[in-house]
Amino acid sequence: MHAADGKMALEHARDTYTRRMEGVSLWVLPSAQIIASDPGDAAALFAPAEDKIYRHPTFYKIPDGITHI
Amino acid sequence: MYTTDLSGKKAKPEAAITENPAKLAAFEARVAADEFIEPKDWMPEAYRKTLIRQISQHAHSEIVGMLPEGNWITRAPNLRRKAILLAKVQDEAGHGLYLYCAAETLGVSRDEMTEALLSGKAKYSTIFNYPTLTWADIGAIGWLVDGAAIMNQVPLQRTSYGPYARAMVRICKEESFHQRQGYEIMMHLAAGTDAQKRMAQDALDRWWWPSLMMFGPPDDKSPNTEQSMRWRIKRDTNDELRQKFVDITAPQAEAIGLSVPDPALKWNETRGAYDFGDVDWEEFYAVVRGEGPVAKERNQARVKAWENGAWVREAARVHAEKRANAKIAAE
Ligand SMILES: [Fe+2]
Ligand SMILES: [Fe+2]
Repeated sequence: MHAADGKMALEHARDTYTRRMEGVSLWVLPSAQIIASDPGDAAALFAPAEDKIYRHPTFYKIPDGITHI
Repeated sequence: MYTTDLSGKKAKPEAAITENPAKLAAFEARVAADEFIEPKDWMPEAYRKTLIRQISQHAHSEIVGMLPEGNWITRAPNLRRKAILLAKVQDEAGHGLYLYCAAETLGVSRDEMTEALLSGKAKYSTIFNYPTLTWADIGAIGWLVDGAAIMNQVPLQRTSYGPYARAMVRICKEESFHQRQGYEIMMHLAAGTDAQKRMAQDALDRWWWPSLMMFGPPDDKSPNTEQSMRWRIKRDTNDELRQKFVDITAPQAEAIGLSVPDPALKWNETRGAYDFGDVDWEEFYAVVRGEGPVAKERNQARVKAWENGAWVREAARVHAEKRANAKIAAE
């Protein structure tokens, strides 16, 4: 949002982002205050999801006939 | 379309030469693999520039697009229609904002974009330089113009630039309400009195061809299509989308007893598609040059809104500053 202050940003956010029940609350902060990760670090940050496949339930083979698990 | 390349000029190929070849190859491979490019990722300058032009032009189209419909809010025939039209126009303002935000992630400022729109330097869709003469025009716009917009925007949900693609997802969710409310207006008028039916037909007569023009010049006159398709910032050619639009829309007109103003329109069994007449491209290029019937009024309306709002922006800024200072003093 572009706004002079937080209150105005919240009002604009209401007009722009709540027309279709997209969320349950709004929060605004000055964009200069956001600290974001660098896409260059994506491998280090997100790799653990890929190389620890045992975190996924499908990693474990359960014999046929055993149900509700 | 809102995103049609209206420059008509072939982009200079210099970018490919001056960019770092290894980075460029890695970028092209990512795009070819349908990965999303995010704001902080490396991208070729030409890609950035093309996207800024395309997204800001799309944003301007949403904003200017509020004017022809805004023209009828006070004169909507009943409260139901008025509430619907208000909500629709408000959606369009939202679309403009999502898109300005997406363009800002590429390093262009909101002020630069506003300035380009007001000075007439930036283009927007040709369709909004036609006047809305009757209430039926509001029906025709929702049905045809938003219908054409959907056709263009659905594939853009998979466009290569992440923020743009995500803005498109939000926008597409809202567009189908726009199209259906427009069709409903036409449906009611077409089933009404003779005068109402004539009004609906007249609106279709005036909006049909300009709607086909929204998809931009024919493919052989659209020099940057190939590059844009490779970069996944365009996913179908102008002619493909135009054909799709005719195929879907012609039966919708027939279903409510209106006739498409094109004597050459005919179902082609072998092609499995409609044949249709030639678009008057001279008219299209004239509108692109700024000679559309109400181009001047549209620009004046935007300039007036900007100037009349200056004191509000200024007051808000001063007020915020005063409060911030008072807070510091109290601490
Ligand atoms: Fe829109
Ligand atoms: Fe729309």
